Amino acid sequence: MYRRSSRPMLLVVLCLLTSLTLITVDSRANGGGVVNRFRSSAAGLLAPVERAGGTVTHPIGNFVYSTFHQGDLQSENARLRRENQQLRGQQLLQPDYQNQLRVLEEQLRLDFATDVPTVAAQVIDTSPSNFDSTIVVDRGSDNGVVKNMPVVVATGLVGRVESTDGRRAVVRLVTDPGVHVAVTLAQANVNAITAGAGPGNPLDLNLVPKGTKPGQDEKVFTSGLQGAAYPKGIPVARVVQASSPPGADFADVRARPTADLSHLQYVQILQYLP
Amino acid sequence: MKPMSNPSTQWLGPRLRMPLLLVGVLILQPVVDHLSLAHAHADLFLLFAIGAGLVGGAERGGLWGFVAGLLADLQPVTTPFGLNALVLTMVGFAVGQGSEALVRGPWWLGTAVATATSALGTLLYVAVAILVGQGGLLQDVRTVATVVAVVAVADGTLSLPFLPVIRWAAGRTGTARRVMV
Repeated sequence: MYRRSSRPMLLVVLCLLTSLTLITVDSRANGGGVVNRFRSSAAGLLAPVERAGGTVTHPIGNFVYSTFHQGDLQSENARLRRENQQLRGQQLLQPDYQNQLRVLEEQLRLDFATDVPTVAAQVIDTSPSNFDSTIVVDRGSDNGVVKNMPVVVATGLVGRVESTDGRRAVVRLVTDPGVHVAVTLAQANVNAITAGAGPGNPLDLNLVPKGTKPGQDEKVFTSGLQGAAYPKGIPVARVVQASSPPGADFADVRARPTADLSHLQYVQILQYLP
Repeated sequence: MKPMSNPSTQWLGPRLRMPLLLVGVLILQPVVDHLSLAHAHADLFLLFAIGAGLVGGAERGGLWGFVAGLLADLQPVTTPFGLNALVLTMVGFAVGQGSEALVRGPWWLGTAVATATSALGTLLYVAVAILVGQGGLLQDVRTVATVVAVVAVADGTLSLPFLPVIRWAAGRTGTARRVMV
């Protein structure tokens, strides 16, 4: 079956050409088109397999009792054991429920954009790519989520919706190089544009006028200028580094996102479109 | 070159084993995602393409790399559909070509090849991504270097258990390529 083939690598060339065609078609469609619809549908079909995998990786606590035990005493003993195990399980789960409730309250209580309707969502997946800053949430177009809606937690901006299908949405995080947010430095009162620099890295603040001296830890908020993609006043980041290199036209300012993007469990999708 | 089969695994033909292994990769990748170091983690799809090239040669390496790449493209990524397929086809093919010359070697050679080609494959991914207009990937060279290093070490380590599995999946037990991987 696995004999060495002496024929030209026709199939490999075909694969390469197919890949190039797919890239071209997808790039030209710019997030829409047939390829994207296929991608969304296929991803939806694969989701149960991935979820099943997640279930398999967790220990299964089912205990099978012998069916050969006879007599009232033995069956009563087995029943009591099962009840005892269930109660122990509930006792073990209680701190977990409380922890989840605390996380929910912390991440979903918003002090900003209070006039914008929201959709609460759970983070169900992260990007497998090392170069992509995306997460997947369990709310999609069926829940009124559409492309480009801002995604937040209580501590600040998370990112924006990149694509949706019926039951889920891909969110591009604010640390992604493709995400740019119009912001205002609160104390310095200057406008800037953020640019992501990859997971774990601070955001670059572009177009900050030279000579601006933002304070350490100074908060950066969405500016909400007319036509802006994000409503005004959402915390985005805190300044961690600022300098004005000689000869440069703009100040070099970096800021770390206020939201903890590496431990997201629940998010709010703001039903806001410019 | 007819593969020798273990009687205990005859119920599962070689034609089914590779797709099954790929489904396993799909299931395990999210688990591996959580085992990150400096925001980077192992790339099982890349390791699958490398393994397919090592055990199957250039043509099969390219083909299975393509299939694994398509599956990777179906994940929640923002890069163009087909990018992973293109890169993994090239990686599988190149590893398969190289392995033709390295069939007989010490036991650790497979792991060394997996480590080196994981690094090169990640760099190739960045290069091709930039060529197709995803220039943001190279915005921070330090990040790329970190990812390349982590993927190389992680995939190299995982190749120790993975290569025997893919050798079994490809039905290569008992062949000359066993010396290699």
